[in-house]
Amino acid sequence: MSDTCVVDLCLDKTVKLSKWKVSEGTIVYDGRVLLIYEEGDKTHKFKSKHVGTVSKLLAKEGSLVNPGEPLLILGKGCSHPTVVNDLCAECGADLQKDGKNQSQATIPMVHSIPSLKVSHEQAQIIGRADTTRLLKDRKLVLLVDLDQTLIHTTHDTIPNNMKEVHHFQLFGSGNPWYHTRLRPGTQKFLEEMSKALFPCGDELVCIIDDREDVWDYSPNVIPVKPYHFFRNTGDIHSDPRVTPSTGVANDYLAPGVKVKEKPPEDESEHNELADDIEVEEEDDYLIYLSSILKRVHKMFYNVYDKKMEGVPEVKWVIERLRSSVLEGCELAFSGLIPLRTKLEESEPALAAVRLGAKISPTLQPSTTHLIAAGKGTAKVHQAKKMKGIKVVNPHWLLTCSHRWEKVDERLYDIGADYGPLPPQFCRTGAKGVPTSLITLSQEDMDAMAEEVGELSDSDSGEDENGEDTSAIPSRESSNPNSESSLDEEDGEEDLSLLGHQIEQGLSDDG
Amino acid sequence: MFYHISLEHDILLHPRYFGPQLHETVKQKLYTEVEGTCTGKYGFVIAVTNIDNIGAGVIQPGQGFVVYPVKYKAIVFRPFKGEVVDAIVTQVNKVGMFAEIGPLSCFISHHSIPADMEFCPNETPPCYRSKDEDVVITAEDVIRCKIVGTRVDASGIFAIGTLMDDYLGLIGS
Repeated sequence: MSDTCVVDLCLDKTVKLSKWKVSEGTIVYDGRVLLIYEEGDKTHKFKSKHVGTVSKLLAKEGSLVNPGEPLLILGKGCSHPTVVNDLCAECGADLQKDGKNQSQATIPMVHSIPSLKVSHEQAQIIGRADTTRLLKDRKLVLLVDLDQTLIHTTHDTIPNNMKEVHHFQLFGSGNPWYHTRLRPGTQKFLEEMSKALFPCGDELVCIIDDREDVWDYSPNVIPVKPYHFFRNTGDIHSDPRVTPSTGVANDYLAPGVKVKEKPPEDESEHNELADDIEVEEEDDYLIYLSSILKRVHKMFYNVYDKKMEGVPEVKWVIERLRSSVLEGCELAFSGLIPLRTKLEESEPALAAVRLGAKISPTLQPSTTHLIAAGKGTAKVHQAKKMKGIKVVNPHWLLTCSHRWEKVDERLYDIGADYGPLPPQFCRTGAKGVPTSLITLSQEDMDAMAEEVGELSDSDSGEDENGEDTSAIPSRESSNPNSESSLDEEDGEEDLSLLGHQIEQGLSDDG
Repeated sequence: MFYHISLEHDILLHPRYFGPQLHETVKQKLYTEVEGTCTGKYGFVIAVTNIDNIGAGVIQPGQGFVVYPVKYKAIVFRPFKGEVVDAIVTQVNKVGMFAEIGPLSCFISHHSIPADMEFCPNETPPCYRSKDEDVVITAEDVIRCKIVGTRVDASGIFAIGTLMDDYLGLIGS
């Protein structure tokens, strides 16, 4: 492509160049009309004899062109910036026939057509065009996670006549049936979003997902309260790092959600009764989500309008908006953070910081809230003595982070049971370190086991203390199947549970 | 371009079809085996118009199957580079548009769409629209395009088209 050629009209008369049909940068193929010229009264088309890219136009429209006068400089050859099925979409060359596939087109641009690829350069041009178009139309890109965000899918056996549940099979008949239920209000949510707000580069992208870890905790992500409709279906793509203890992937699904979900296997529900139960489903989260997204959109374009040059980034807007939720609050934790995890790295603390709250390891005069997993911890007693500290259930923080608003604390009294917490909220699961639980616990287990022996003995002796068990009632009650299903690892499971209880107990004391 | 040409095809017949209906079976089998197929040389076989000759069957040793060489005439559609064809747009995206010329699928890059036409993804359905909003090309519209290149593979022929020439683009609905 280094060689260029100068194109002239190859005529022996002077003619008038009436119109260019190409511009600089245009890719021309053999036979493409380059320009229209007038010879006397007649107009003629001048076609290219080469494949290449126009690098410079030498003559002006309306000027007279003498014989042999150069008209344009053509960079020979085509870089094949867009390729479909090994066929260059610009010059029509068959790239397989040429043998040497020297195309740089490697990026599949349209997700539904993987065979359509463009080069890095082209992708950037198209991406920039997208950005300007979005800004012009005052829109943002909304990246939507489906399962457990807008829909919930199970492969359990469920009755066929359930209302608003779609059944489908993947890849032929040998596969199990999947059953998908749309989250209440999905249709309205999508319609509203497409109308009001959202139709490159990640500065205009907003992601909704129930799992932040798959996005590597990108600040663009708005975490969504997971949608559980069916029982016994964890995330199919569950990340083993986040749910480190074997076999308990489902433990956070069962009890609290039961209220909303329909017991699927029950034969007696095979009639219209089944539909009645579904209607009672009280998941209204999408209303909150759509209000969050509208706020993000409004703030983004407010900022965009104010500073004319440069484009604000959505992640910045999301961070700003989110950090105003719990602004001015100072949180302390009790019974939530395992001993070995640093406070700043633990999931509840990270969530709190993202919401704009300050965190402190101990109770201070300035502390406003104490997030307590159980009733009887030392910190709870201390906080009750100190005036002005609101003692709340961990669900308060969880709900705040899901709804992006400071929820009324009175609704989240520590005594009440709100069902189980997601694993990263009651376990460890700070960014990057969750594996340490597995590795460390394996090593420490033996040493711990001895201590556990003593402790558990004394525990059984004085139950009214109740601190260790009450701190994590949900875990024990919620995974009855995890122990039975993993018989060979029973011992380990017990140990890790016990070890965890100790951690919790110790962290409370400290 | 369409051609009416003579072609040959071998029909492999199971012995269970040997009987009074034998020739009828061979003809039926020819229709099903040949119509709709695609070869690089002749293009798409659109329809068999006439069966000229069914040759003597040759029994395959050790199998009992019989091979009949059949000569027939068929209408074929063979796209050529430089040919101008009418196509139906099937999909429009930011890289270009896909169109179908009967059995032949064709892609037109956005570089090959006149520069004054702009992609509008916010319309439903998405479309290419000229600045004065006179011309709107969207899925299921009929366009006239010129074939710039073709490629034959096992499943069929794929073509690259362009709208950058006179009298190309949207044609009357």
